[in-house]
Amino acid sequence: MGHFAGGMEFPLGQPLRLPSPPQQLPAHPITIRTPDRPEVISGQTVKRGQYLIEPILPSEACYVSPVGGSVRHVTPQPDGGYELTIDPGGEQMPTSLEVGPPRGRKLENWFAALRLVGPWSERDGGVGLIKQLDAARNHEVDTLICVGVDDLSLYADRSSLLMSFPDDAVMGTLIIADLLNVKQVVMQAGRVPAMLGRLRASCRKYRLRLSVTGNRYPAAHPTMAFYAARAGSRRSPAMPSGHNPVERGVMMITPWTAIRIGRWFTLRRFDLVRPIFIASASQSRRLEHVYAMPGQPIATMHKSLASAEHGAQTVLSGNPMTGTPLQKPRVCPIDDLMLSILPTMQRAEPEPCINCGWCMDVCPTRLDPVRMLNAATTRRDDAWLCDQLPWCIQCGLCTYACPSALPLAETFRRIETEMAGPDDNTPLDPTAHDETAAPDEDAAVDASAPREEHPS
Amino acid sequence: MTTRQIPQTCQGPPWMGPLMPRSQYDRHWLLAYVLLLATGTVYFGWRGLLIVALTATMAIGVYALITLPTRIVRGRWPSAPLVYVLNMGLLMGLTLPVMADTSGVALAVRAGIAVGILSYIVGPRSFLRAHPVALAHLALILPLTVGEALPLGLEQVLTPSKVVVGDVWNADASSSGVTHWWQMSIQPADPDASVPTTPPADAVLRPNPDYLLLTEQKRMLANPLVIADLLRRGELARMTDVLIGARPGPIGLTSTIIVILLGLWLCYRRVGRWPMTLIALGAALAAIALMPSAGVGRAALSVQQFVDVGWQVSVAYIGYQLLATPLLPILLLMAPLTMPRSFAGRGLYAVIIGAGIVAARWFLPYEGIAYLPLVIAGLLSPLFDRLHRSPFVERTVR
Repeated sequence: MGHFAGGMEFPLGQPLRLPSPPQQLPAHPITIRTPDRPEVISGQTVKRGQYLIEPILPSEACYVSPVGGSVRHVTPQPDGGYELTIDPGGEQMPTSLEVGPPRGRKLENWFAALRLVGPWSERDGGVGLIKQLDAARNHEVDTLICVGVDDLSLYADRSSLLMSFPDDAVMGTLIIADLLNVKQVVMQAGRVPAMLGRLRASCRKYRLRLSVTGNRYPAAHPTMAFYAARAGSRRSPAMPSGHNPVERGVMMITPWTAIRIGRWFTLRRFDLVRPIFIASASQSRRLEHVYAMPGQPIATMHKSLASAEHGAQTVLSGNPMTGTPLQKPRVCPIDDLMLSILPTMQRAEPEPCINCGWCMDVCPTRLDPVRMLNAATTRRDDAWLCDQLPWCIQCGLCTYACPSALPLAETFRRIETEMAGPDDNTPLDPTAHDETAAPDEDAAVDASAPREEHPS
Repeated sequence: MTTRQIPQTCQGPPWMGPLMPRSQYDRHWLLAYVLLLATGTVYFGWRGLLIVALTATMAIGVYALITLPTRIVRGRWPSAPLVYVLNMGLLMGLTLPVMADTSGVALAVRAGIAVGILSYIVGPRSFLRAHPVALAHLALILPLTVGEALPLGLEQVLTPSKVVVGDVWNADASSSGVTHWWQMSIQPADPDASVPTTPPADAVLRPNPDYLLLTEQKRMLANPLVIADLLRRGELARMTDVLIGARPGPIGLTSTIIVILLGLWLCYRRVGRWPMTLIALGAALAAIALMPSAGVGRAALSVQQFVDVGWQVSVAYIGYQLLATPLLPILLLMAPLTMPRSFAGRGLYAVIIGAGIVAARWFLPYEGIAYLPLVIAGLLSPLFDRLHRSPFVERTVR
């Protein structure tokens, strides 16, 4: 894999050996946040696996209820979404759906089936599995990568998954590769010795190419993974943040997505439970893990989360570099598999920039954060700033490295949201006039694809 | 870079960090300057320490006075922390020579005031990204040296037996031209002697190699015997003296080995940049080779003179140009403060400084002229920053 500029090496954390997901968990009220209005109302009884939302757009995944019970409330949120809470009907809740995978190797069938068992994390390729599969129906994909490099090497979450379920991860990757008829399939993993032995054996058994790369943060980000995959090829290796990599011929999945699909294929039931890794500032580089249902209150997941919920600590969804604070009520997130517990901190007072150049040195996409900050503050050079912002992958290294504690990453995120507009979630597209785009990027989207019904 | 425990100073993404707080960043410079001060005290004693301390104190005092109205009116502290101003004051003092009389105290006071004022106006935080110490040199020191036939500072250093505590003004006139390494030729007084003897001096006379290079560099290349003759007569400091610092010059910058080691340490801590230093040295070498020189009956470039004078003289000449002049202290200890952020910009910045110092000293042989390219390059830094292009953004064609 190619080497990219910038980034930072962090010490390696130790991966965990996870047990198999339990078949049942103690029942707790489940709180789910949906982007659209749900199809259930307060007081309604729902079954496990029943649709909560079924979007019209084929590129959006459905939301199924992970538990059976009654809907306590459906509350609209300020961001346009909805929050609903389901009180379970029993003391235990099954962690999987008794739904078998579709028969055959047709992409349309699998796409429909996977779409109907959502929600899915958006970490796969930066846009989510369903969006990528939807784009794959109209674009040729020549490379499939299972990005097993840890997001932040301090906490070996993806390595733990690959170490614990290597066969399932390989199986799931190969299934998707078979569906897409991909020429090049790669299992990308970091240099974590404890994990590599097991993963190598599985890759050898199933003849999947294993690529071992350095754990240079942020190698796991889709923009960086795409750059590494395309380095040395004739096609452009640059993909802005938030864009669908399938439109450029590469599909990316995370290990848990591959494991879920692999276990679905072998066990004939679909896991709704997810492993959650807990990173605590008090135990540097040591992870704890727990299995939880999406939407489950974090206070019921683990004792450290329970004390964080009642104490004055900050709980982030994601790793400590890029995580976002969990909004109350704090529940198990859908997108991230890691929760970070941090002590409450005082904000450092920003000081004037001293032009040390560290932010530019560590930026993986070689931007000029100081000039971007000045442009964002003065708003005199919006055209130039519009060109730069799509390439900011929000890794946070610039803010981390800045001696003057300038809020660089926060400012870029805020200004990007302002520039995109309040109702427009489409990322800024710097390739709108890209003359060097590959021919298949201009292929029209097939809007006439029929909607598939639920396989059960 | 390595990570560290999450400090209690950050809120907002990223939730770890900062990697190195501003206070720790400034302490790197402070440590370097304190070590240089210790070196200067070894060779120049308490007088050198006094000059540096006075300069630093004046700088902090003037800066505090200037920023007092800001603090009263706006209710906030000034942009530059006091550690930064202390660093500038120390550096200014370290670049001053010890003078032969009390005019050195007056010079130190003026220099401290100048640095205190300039630290508020120019610097890495300002749009005018000029180095305050370099600018103070051009404003204060350079006018004193233009047209002068002698070096500005004292040409004396302490003997090994009187380091730190000795008086560098108390030198033995007969020690001039002594050729063995930094040792006094005067023997200790015999207590049994009936004739009273004069007490041993604290310091010895030593030539200033920087000043000699300024005035004799053209002659060194024109005649292959000049360097050897100067060394034999003791008018040119030996390279060992230059390396360890037993020679007159700026109080804290005479020891080339210490300057190099501190510069490497700063590069290791990423406060300095070794590619910039290497580029600047390369530019300096190229400039040394390309300076116009008068050969026997013809005009030539210096590189042609290297062939004429022989490789031994050429190597010695280049060695003195690199090690005995302010080139290395400026590159390693001053240039990183005002360098551009961009990679291409740092390259241009380094070329201007490296080649500029050699050219300035060649065409304008005055003490302190070496700071002029640093000021010019610093003022151009904001323009150099705009040269930066992200290869990712560049792939987007409009």
